[in-house]
Amino acid sequence: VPEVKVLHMADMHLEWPFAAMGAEGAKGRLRREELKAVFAGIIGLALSEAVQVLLLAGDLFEHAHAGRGLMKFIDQQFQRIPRTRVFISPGNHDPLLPNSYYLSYPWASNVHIFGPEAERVDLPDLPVSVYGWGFGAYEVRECHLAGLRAQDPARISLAVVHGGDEAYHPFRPADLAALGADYIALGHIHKEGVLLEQGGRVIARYSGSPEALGFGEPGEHGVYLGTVGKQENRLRFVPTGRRRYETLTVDVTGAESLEDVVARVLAVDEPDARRQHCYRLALTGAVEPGFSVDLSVLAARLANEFYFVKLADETRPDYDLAALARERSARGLFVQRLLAQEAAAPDGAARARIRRALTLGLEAFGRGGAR
Amino acid sequence: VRIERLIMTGFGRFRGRTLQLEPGLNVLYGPNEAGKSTVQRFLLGMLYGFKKRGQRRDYTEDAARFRPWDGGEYRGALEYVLEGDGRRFRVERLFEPGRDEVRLYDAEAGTDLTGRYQLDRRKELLFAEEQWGLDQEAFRSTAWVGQLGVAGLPAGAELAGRVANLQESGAEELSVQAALRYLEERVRDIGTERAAVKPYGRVLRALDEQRQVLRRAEAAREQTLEWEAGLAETGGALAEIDAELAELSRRLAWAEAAEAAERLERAADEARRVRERLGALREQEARALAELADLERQLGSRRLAAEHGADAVARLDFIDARLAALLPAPGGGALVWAAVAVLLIAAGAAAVALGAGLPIAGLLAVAGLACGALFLSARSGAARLRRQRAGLELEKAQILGRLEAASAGDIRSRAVRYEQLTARREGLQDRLQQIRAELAGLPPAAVGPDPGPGAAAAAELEALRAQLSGAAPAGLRPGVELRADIRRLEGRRAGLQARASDLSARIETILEGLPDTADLRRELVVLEEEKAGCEAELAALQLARETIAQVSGELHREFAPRLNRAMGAVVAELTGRRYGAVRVDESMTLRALAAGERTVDVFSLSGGTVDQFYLGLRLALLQLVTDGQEPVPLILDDPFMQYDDHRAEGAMRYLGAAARGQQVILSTCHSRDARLAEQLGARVIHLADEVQEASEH
Repeated sequence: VPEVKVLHMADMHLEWPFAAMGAEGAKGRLRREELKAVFAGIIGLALSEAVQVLLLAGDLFEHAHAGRGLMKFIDQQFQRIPRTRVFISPGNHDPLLPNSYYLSYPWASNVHIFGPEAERVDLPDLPVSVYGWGFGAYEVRECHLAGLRAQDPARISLAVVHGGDEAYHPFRPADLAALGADYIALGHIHKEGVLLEQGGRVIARYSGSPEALGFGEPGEHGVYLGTVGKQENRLRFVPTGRRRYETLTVDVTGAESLEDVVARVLAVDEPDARRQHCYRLALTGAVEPGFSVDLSVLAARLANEFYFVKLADETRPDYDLAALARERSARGLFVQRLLAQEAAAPDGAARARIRRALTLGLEAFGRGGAR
Repeated sequence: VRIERLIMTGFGRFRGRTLQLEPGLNVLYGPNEAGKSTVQRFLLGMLYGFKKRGQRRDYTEDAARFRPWDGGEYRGALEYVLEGDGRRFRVERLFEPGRDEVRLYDAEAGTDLTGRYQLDRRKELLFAEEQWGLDQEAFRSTAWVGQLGVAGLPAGAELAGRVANLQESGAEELSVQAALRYLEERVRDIGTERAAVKPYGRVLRALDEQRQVLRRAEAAREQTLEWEAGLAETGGALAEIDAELAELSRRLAWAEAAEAAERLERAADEARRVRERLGALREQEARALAELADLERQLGSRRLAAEHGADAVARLDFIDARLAALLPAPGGGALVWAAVAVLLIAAGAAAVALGAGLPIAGLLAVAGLACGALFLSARSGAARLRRQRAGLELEKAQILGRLEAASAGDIRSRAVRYEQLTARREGLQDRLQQIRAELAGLPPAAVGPDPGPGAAAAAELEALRAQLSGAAPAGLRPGVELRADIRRLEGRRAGLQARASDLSARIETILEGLPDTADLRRELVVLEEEKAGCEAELAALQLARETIAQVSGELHREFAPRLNRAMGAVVAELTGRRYGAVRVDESMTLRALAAGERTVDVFSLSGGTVDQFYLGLRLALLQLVTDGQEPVPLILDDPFMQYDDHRAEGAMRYLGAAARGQQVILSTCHSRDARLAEQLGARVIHLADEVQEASEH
């Protein structure tokens, strides 16, 4: 039974700015280096697993930031796997613009880059056809899947394509089903997930980003590796992410000192995990009105405990708002008004603003003194 | 609250001065400059301190103004009773700016209660706010009436808000105004777009700069990408030209081979032609030589006639002429004929001899002897004649025989022929010379063995073709054209190579100094987050402020009717019922309704009346604010200055009545007021006396 060994990856985003690292510039730059190391690791995987087809479903690098040096690095990686055919479908972060390195760099001979015209490439030595389409602009608002329909039922049909939302090459599972492909490697969504399954056989999926790029991408990250055949696809998730991004809340109710808060913050994870991953921690809970933790002091205190931690103070002064709202006073009316607004708030941002106004107003009324 | 003692340890003009107050109406009476206003300020300072609002290290001008005149310690104490539970308190305060301090004690037990009360942001102890139920602003707007009572009132809406709060929230020191001020300070802390040193302005500026830096970096990057693209394009064009050049070179090689082959063919043709010529010349030469030999032979046989012909013919002609003259008789002729016959025989013998190589002269001599013999035999005339003729005949025969000619004509024709043959021989010799010259001029190669037509050329062409790669191109073009094309392409190639190295150099240069746009982008995002943080905080502050302003406005609308009622009652008392109905609008403009008359703006009334109204407003506010709580002492500094006697009396009566419910402390320099107060049973403190009294202690 003919089958082909495939590695499906996407959304590497080399030269991603890592704004999540905030003012820690060196750490941001280090993360970019780590991203390259993750990519080199995936190539190593392709090599050791004797992958026949590497499907790269877009956003390999940041067109806005990548330079020739990075292209050299990428190309050297491809040269490590001369027996693997590499297929790239450019995405919205690395579109095939006229000044793209995809066009100007002399890529290794095992690399094929798809463009805004749908294309089919037949492997000479395998009964495999690879169909691909790539972004030619930063935004693409129409679907281009029609050109990727499998044409030869005798051959294994692979498709590689980026997109799936309104401004970025919209398509629906039904559009994918219409392709008649044996496997469709998707990119764009940074969380891995199946988009099309037929009789227990996964036909189309996002592989997710191999390395999380920020706090919007929690959990494990990796690539898909395995075989695709005419009847059966056996691909497994291979984790490649080095650092996770965890967004957690730390209830500091009742904390009375910096060390109280520190103890609760440290309890979020094991020391090894803390020193490896990135954490965004929101301090929550009701605190004594007037008690507040200076986040910069806390951050300094935690510097050796975490690889990276971003702190937010979402504690609220321990007011009995319901009681305050019943008060026949300007303050009572104020609380009543804002609680009503909060209940009707259209979104989280509005709710946060109202909460903050409430805290500020109560602080203003009581100057930290009233209960 | 009832104030019992003011202890001015060192305050303005006072040093170690204590004032003892009673419940009810207390009047401080003294001339100007006696220190009445100082006492008023002392009270205010004891309760609230002299720090400016919201400022920790900034003091009101009072702080400097009441520094003790003697330069001694700047402090005082105040004792009061809370009438609700009868507890006595003592406040001690050091006023010295920068070292100012306040402590609160239980006046009976002496316990320090300072720690039980909150400090505000200025580190000011908020005991009065809690115990008296009024913050400084509210106190100064109501119970504490300075000399310029009207001017001292805060703006309408502000007062309304504050009053509303005070009214509704009882003992809590909640103040809409203070809250709004606090929020404004927070807004100021963040700053506006224009305040470059404040966080918001700073982040906006930094963001602006960062955007510009990023834009420049991105432009430089775009430029590099363009150059990279240009370089790639140039590389592609170069590859095309190289391919084209390779094809042209191949074609040229073929063309050159073909041309070489053609040259070889031509050379072979030429050689063939030369060889043919050579053959022809040699044949001509051989023919000429053969002809020459023939001629020589012919000439040989005619040489005698040619050499001696002329003499012989002349002699023969002479002989013939002599013979004709010696024409014989018949018979005589026989002799002649005999002689002739002899001569003929002799000649014949001579001819044979000549052929045999015998000497002709000998023969002729024999023939002559024979003729002589004949001559002798004919001795007679005739004989002589005959003898002569025979001699001639003999000579003639001898000559002819010698020349082997039949006749003189024969000799003559033979000479002519000889001449002809000689000319022919010369012609042939010239021709031969020409042939030999041409032969000498022929290329020596042609002289070698003939390899056969075009064989060498074909072999050489085959060798050339063996060196050429690929199939023969269709439609061979001449090498000259191809070479021109190659030159043209090589020119273009040189241009492209120059462009490529120029682009490479540019890319190298710009790459060295190219900023890290990813990092710039990260910094930009950080600044954007900072800006968003500022804006979110500003929005929250704005929402809090708006909400507070809104609810205080609503409270005012709720509160205004009650204020109007309370004020109407007070004003009716103060004005001896001339004015009863009063309206306070949201901007705190007072409108009075004179009994049975139209509504008037209070400011259109006389100064004294305006004062009355605003005193009424304060008193009404105080009533409402402290309604149901600990009453607060009323402290008035010369409030009736502008009043006529009638009004002053009315007002004093009102205060006397009010003093039944709350302590009233009124200072005045008018003996009229002091007298009125005494009539109402007030304690009148003569400030000058008190000074002495105190110094007596």
